[in-house]
Amino acid sequence: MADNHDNEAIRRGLALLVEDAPLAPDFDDLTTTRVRPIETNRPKPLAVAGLSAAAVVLTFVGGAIWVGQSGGQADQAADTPLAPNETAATTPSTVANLEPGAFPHVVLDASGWSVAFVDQTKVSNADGVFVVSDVVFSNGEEEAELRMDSGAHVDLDALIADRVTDASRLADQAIWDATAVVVDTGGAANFTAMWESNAVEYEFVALDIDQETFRSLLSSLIQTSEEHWNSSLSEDIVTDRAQAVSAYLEDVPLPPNFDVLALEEGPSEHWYPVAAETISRVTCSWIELWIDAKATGDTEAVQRAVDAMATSHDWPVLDDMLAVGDYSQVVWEYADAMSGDGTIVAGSVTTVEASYQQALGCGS
Amino acid sequence: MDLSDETIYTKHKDDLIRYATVLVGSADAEDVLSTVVLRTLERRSLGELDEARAYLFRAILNEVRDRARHQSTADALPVMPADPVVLPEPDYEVALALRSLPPRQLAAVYLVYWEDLTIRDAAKTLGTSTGTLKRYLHIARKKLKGLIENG
Repeated sequence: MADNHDNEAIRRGLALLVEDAPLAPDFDDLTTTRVRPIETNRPKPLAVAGLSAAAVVLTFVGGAIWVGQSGGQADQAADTPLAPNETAATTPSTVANLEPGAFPHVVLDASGWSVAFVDQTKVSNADGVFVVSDVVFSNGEEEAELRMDSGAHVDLDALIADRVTDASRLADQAIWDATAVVVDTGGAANFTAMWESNAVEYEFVALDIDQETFRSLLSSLIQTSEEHWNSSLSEDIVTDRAQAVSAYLEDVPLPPNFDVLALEEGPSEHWYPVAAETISRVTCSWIELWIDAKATGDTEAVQRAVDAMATSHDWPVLDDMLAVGDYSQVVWEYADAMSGDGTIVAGSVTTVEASYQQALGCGS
Repeated sequence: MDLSDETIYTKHKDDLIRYATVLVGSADAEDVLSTVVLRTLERRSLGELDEARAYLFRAILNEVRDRARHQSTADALPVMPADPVVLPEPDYEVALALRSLPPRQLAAVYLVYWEDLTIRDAAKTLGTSTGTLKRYLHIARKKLKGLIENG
């Protein structure tokens, strides 16, 4: 079937969905059309902020990234993405316990290619919850994607059967200690290779390239050292945490005895979770000081914490983070509550004391 | 009331409600849109956002994904029209299949096929890489292909 026919069919299907659209409420009517309390939907950024050094999760509006180690799976991963709003109680520890180190460091060892993006998703099925992720390699013009999955649910035969159903199986290709099944999945030169090695399932996908190039890229995949992996990362990924943390703390007043050094240890990550973890530590410390001071009647210390958090509206890092995710908004929400009556007004009423740990990822 | 907020919202509201409708259905679209806009305005003027439209598109998807985790797939399916004869059945089947896609895949399909965004712009709107965006489209098309061919 011609692609144009497919595209038209999709557009007609979309048209049916679009035609159901109600009139958008006028600006003045927004408050009356919202029937669901904001509280249940508001960002719960602990998935970002509550990361331990080992659990490297980046969540942001529209997606989740896991950087540092790699892994991935196709359909299931896309079906159940690691949610930006995962609850504070489960996400960081769940990810941390999923043995991210089980995935080897894999790079595409070809001139001009680097790791451009790592996207983590969480897969849930009857066997449990697994973390998989996609590593996207790019040379600036073309991209190729490697998915790795070491979960117990891995079924390479099923995956191959699914891919081969409507695709052409090509000659196998040796890779590492395994043999990859290579298929042409149709369309505009889309190729996929699947193999299993050391209990890890791999799926390597490249679109819009010819078979020769695809096979060349496949043969360029190597398992490598952490150092080589780090050197293959794009500039969005922080490799010098000390330098990055120092930059994130620009214009940020630090609580007494704040341990900056503790933030400087950790693997290479996308800049966003590093920034979120940094700000989380600062904000949580100020709130805890504020709570203690209120309890002991130390009005001077209360005011110090309020004043410090009031400056959060001017922290440069929060402005930068705003373009990626919602964490900044939560920080400001708590800063405002501290200078007010301590009430969080996003939906159902709660207090700073009752909600800050979960909302800001404190103590993780 | 910040007039610029109203101006920006009014400029994009029709696009936003259509997008929300496709992702979550007409019954919840207004609520999703209102929730997202109000939540944003609680903290930030729309005028302060570099790209308010893209930001709200991302926020709507985020909201939909949040809700999707708390409801069954059946809840999200479009309601069969009272008189199905008036609609070409294959198109309706495709519409059903589209609605059954995970939100991020459906959002990718919508932005590329309905909004006519380039892969790069659609990826930017969703806050993802072009490679991931292509993957969403690839998987979505694969899922839809059988239906379309049988239509």
